[in-house]
Amino acid sequence: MIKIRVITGFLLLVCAFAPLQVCAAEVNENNNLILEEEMAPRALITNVNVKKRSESGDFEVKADIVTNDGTRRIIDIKNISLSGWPSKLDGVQIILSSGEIWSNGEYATVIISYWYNGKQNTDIVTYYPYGN
Amino acid sequence: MRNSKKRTIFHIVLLVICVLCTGIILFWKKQTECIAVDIEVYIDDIREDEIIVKGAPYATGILIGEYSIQINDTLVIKDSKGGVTDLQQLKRGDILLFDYHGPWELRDGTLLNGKITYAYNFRISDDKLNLKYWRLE
Repeated sequence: MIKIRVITGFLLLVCAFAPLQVCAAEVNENNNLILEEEMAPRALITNVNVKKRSESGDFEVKADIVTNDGTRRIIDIKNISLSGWPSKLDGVQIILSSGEIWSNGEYATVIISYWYNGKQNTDIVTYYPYGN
Repeated sequence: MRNSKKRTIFHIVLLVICVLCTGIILFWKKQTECIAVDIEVYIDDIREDEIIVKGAPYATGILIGEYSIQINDTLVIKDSKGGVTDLQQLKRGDILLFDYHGPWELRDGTLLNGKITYAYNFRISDDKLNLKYWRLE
């Protein structure tokens, strides 16, 4: 009886100290398993004060772009503000959208809207990963 | 008498054309000019009568070339606390912020506080450009 207890205790100790092999993995978009060594790094790169001209060239909008360095996709767009506008629109209320991320982070946009000559006008600024 | 009348009409037509041209120029200027805020440049060189500034290497947007700021009696550069900075204490690599009213595109060497462009509200940032990191030393 004592022998059985000693052997059981010994086995329990062996099991407790035996190194457990944990294989880190994740699933990609195609549901394929990616092992740890194949995984991309998770660093987040924040490009601050990225100034970009709008499509029409009439505005310049400043924003901070956060890119996941592993996936090379935008995960956040913040601190959006207008940094340049045509002098003809001085005093006109110009409204910026809060920033939208599209195609799973391939690009982000900010919509500019304003009233001029009795018409509502819109313009768009597009940001790419790393503030490009 | 007839010649005098003709001359008067000619002068009136000339005047109208001049007024029209001035109006078109002013309208075109208004259409192509912009107002920009918080433009960031760094001091590259300080000369007797001018400060040479360059767009920060990481800067995007307008004014990313090399420009000049004339040192005159009206030039006031404020520090981050709102006080006036002594121009003698400015150093290469200091970051200068300002607001701007003028054309969207500027040629290198343009005077920022001149007649065509109007840069104002100059202030020195507490941050300095790391010249070594950007290989500008």
